[in-house]
Amino acid sequence: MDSKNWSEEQKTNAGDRFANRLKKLLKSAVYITESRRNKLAINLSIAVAESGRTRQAIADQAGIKLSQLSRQLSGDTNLTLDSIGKICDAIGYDFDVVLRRQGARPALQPWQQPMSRVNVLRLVSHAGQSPKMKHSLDLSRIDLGEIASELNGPANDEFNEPGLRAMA
Amino acid sequence: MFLLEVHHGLFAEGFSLLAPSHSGWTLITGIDQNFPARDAKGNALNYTQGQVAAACPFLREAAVLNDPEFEEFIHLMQTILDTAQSGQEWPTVMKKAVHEAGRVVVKRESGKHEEYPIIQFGKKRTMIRVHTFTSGIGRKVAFISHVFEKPKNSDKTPASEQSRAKMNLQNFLSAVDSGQAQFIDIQGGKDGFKKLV
Repeated sequence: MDSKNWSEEQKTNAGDRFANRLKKLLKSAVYITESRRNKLAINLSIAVAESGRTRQAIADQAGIKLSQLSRQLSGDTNLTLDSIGKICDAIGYDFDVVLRRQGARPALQPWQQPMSRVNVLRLVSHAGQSPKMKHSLDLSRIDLGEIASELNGPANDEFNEPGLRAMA
Repeated sequence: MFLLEVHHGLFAEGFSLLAPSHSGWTLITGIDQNFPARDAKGNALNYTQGQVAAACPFLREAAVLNDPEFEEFIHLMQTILDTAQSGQEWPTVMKKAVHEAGRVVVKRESGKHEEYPIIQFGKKRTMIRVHTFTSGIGRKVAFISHVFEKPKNSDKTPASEQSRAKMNLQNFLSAVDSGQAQFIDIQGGKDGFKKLV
């Protein structure tokens, strides 16, 4: 279904429909449950990939079959705390259940770089120096408001330093 | 051709057109219009989720899916985007939910022909498939072609979807080669994308 030749009205209606359906879906209990399940599975999958070990080696260490591990990491099963624990043990991680307000940012995973003030300053000081990193560290993409919310608080005085403001 | 970065903010209740920075995969798709940050008088402009979806074939075509398929599409995109932020290769993390679904040959402005694999996302038991092309020069950039519903009576990717993927990629690369590919201003600068290809 190629929408290239849709009328402007059709496009507008489809856009509104997308937004309305998404809004409704994000509030659906079924969606929220499955989304949590998927999120947990994908985070475990990434952790497994980050460990650099094969799934077979991890399954062996966890004392489960490879097929069982694959199912658990696919998001199709409702993982138990024991299952999560076995996978984490096999890749050298532990886990906590960290609560947060709905809509607040999730806690960072080990492979995600925390946006601390030190990291912000490093990003700013290195931005533009390496062509390879030009895009991801583009100064125009660094949002001080977002950085402040990363720190779970309003924009504070640290980010009002004249030098930092001027560079950004 | 205008380009939109596809990220979590497009699928969130707290809609955001501005993509957060991260060092993983950057996903982009084509859109029909620009979204400048400011109007001619310099006033800041805000856009709604609906306005952006209307201009983006990838999103507006998802809007007409049936409820279960729409939900599957959103779940699939969340998974793709989560994996994207990690920077891991998708097959390493998503396993059977991602695979190569054929190859297409496109012509660059230089006259050179290039072959690209079609990366197809979608679990076997579900109906939704997303076609994507990844950059062939080491950059973690992926161009999202389109979303479609798998025919109920076949596991094969329809030839028509492959043709469409090829056409979208050809249009995209032609726009890049001719300097017409442009990230929308609010996301990263007028010519930001040209540097990524």
